[in-house]
Amino acid sequence: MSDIKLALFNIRKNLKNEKELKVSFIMSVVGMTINNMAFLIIWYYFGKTIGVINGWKPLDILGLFAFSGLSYGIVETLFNGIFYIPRYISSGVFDKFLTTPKNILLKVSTSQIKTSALGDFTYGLICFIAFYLYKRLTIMQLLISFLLIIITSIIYYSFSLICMSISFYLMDGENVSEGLHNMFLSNSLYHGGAFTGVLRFIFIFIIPSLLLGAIPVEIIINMSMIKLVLICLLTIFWFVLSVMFFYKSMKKYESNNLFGFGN
Amino acid sequence: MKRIRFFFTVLKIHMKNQMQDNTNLILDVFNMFSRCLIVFLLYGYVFGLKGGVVNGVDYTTTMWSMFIYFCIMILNIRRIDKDIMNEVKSGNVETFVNKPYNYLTINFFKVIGKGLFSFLFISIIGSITMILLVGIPDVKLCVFVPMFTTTFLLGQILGLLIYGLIGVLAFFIQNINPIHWVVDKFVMVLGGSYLPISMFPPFMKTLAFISPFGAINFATSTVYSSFTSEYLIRTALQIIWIIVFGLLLNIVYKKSLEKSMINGG
Repeated sequence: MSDIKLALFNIRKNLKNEKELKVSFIMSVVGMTINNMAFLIIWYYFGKTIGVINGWKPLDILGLFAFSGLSYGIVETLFNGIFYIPRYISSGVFDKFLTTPKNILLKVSTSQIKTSALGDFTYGLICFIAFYLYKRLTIMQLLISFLLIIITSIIYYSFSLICMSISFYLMDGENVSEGLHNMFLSNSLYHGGAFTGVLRFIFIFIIPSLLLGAIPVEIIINMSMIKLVLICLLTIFWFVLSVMFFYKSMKKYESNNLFGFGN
Repeated sequence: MKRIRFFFTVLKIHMKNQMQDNTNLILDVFNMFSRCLIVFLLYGYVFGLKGGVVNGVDYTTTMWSMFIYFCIMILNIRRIDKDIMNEVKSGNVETFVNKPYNYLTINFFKVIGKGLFSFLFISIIGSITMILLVGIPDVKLCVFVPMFTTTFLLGQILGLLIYGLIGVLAFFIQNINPIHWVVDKFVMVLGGSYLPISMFPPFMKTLAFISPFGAINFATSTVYSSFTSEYLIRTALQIIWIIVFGLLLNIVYKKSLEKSMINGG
């Protein structure tokens, strides 16, 4: 309980810090919201030119960007610290997390905040409202949507944590971790109808990019309970694996002698 | 002459530096491979549905256009603005602007040097793979090569000026990232990244033609048959934009230096 209190305190403190630079804060949020519209334009015109592809109508991508935007926004705003793990390792800042009696993962996760991710969250929310109006979602669909937002956030957090934990094994793992994470994220922004056969299998079970947006949209549209159970099981699997992998990888960490007071 | 040799030495040093670090190259190859694989499979499926031709353009031409775009992204000149921003934020810029060379020019060569090895390696290997897997687009090499080379070079110069201008804005505003994101997305969309240019609606085609953001990636259009007739006007547009942004960058950079003097770096 005290760990959670500390995590909430960290988040509040980081948010306050960012808010001090008001212009930068507002520009980041608005800029990111506008920036994300590009993907919507691209895939909307793609859908308009091609028509229905694998059951995906042009405006179904609203749902894709709703889920991916919201999960990205939640994780990158509240738990942005995990994306700093490679930097913490290479600079030796990770030492300070090891020397405190609190939950290491929770403390690392909440050590940073990314204000621009609030723009992603806003964008996801706009897309979700538009998707809700377009599809005229029922109460049941709406409830499942809320559950799926939590699920996609956990998946995004878990796989990102795995990508970043790889840095424990490498001399300068920042690029490798970022590269893997980019591949995971960028593939989640492709049109859901694009993935068939082997490609679909790979991006569900090996690199879970499709679980961030495409599969949740298909669950909502088709009310597919089998897919819902599958995504729940995969979420548990990825979350447990990521936490275990983080703590196992952490044992590889060797403290360095960089003198400083950390971040 | 001596100055030019110095700039190319800087480029060579940064390129050699990248050549020593294999992880970057492996990552670039891996990213390029995954991007191309997904896009090629997606459009393979789409073109299959549409009988092999969409908006009068075939699969091979479309894939080559997208391949060129992805290769240009590997060169990654757009990172220049963040490099400048980091130097401004850290205060290191003060040291660099006092050196007896132009700070912006040296940064241009640095950023080219950082991406050149990956770009050349991936472009050559990728082109051979493309010829084997996708085929050769319907272009005459004696026309395509000079057209591609000029539009590519002019596009990259324009890109350096635009992103350089964003970078210099770091002297005035604390965080240039939001401007970078918006401009970057314009460049990405109008360059034909995920959606090929042949599938653009009319308003986007016009925007890609007349805007400076579209002009950065004119090279991606060189594989289309219509490009030959548009070549001269497109080159003229690129030169006009280079002059406009060159002048603008020069003015803003001078103002930035004044500002950095006032603030003491």
